Amino acid sequence: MVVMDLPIPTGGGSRASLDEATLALVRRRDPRAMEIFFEHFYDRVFGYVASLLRNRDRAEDIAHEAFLRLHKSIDKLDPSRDPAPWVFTVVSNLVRDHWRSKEYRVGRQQGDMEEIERLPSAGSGGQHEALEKEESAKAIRLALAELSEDDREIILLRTYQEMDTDQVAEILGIRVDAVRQRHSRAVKRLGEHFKRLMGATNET
Amino acid sequence: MDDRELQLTREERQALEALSALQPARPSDAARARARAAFLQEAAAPELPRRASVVAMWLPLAAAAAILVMLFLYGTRPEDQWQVSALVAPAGIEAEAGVPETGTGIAGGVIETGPGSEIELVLGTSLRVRIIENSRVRLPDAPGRWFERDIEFFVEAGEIYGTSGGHSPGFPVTLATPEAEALLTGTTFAAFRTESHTCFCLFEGGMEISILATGETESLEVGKRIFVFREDGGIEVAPLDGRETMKLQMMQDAGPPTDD
Repeated sequence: MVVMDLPIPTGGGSRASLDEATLALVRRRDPRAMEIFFEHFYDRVFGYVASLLRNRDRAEDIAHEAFLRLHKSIDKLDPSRDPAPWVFTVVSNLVRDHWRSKEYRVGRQQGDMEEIERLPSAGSGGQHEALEKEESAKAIRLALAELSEDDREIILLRTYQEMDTDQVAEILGIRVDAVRQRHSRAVKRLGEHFKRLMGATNET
Repeated sequence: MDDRELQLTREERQALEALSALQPARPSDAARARARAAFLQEAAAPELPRRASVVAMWLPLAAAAAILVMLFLYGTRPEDQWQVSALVAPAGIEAEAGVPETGTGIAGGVIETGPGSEIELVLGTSLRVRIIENSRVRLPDAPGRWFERDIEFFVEAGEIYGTSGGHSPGFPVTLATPEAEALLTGTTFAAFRTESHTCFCLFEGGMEISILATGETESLEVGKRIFVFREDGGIEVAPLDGRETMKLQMMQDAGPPTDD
């Protein structure tokens, strides 16, 4: 077992990929490298699942299960490639299993969905700007919740997780042109919901 | 994200900017600690010492495992594949599994039909289904030979008709929408989903429906349809109307696929 003096990030996740040397140690189950891997991905995975499912408790369960599965198949990790698509493939499969469950469908039907994302910080602008930001944030949260699961999934992978079309195709197991089509339609529907909700907000 | 690929309207751009400005949800400290401990505890588990007589001990188990793996792999292979039997206005049809062509196989996945487009699919000699225009349906993968036999059509919008010829197809078939699920028994059926309700129609056979909002179940009679309303999960049972009856009669006449 190799122990290296590697800096461990303090959570929050990062879009920058882990370097090949670290990933090689992760594949060898070096504890310190595994810790770095966990800190690099956990918050991202949780945030993604929470936004998809609109339920914090379920998101915590699925994120937990995802990391157990990642650990079990860590031998499959290719240190020469960005591991994000592999991580999110495992996560997406767990989310899809949950969507198919009666528990999810009953919960959704009964309105058991939370407002998940946090509002952006007020910034240095004035009160008017802060109010506009808050209204916009509320509208986009509602718009996101109104999308179908498939639409929400592709929007979150492309926009929130900043994956490119090839990565999203790999994660969802569909063709690249199918990703572009689905994403284009999902953005259109998101825009329509957002426009309607902003209009409703402005009327109140 | 590279938005240059998209021609965005002003509202779409504003929506994506607002989405990017949102702060993602944070896990609780307790959940993070539990997940971290589980992940790292597994990593820190010491390797077990190897035994010298491993071959004598493990050979029978390895042989049994190999047999089980073969059974699993062979057993999960589909007995049949979906085949595209008819297309109307194919340019308006998009399928995640690939471009549909008459006479070719197609895997499960989302199928979306535009105005005027229809796609008919057959599964061996078991099932025939038709997805008509303006629909979005998730077609299930074909059932496995011995395992993973259940199949489910998920109707997000639009209409799907189908028949197993009045007898059981030999595997469980479910129609599902976000409001309700219908378990079918030897059936000629239809399912619709609109902005206000789900509707299941039964022309022949049996259909057991679960209403997800209330937990109620209903057995639908032949010749009837059931509405499940999106707003409150309320239901209403009514006779089939003329349009539905005509389409279902055509599906029944077409019957399930044959071996010819």
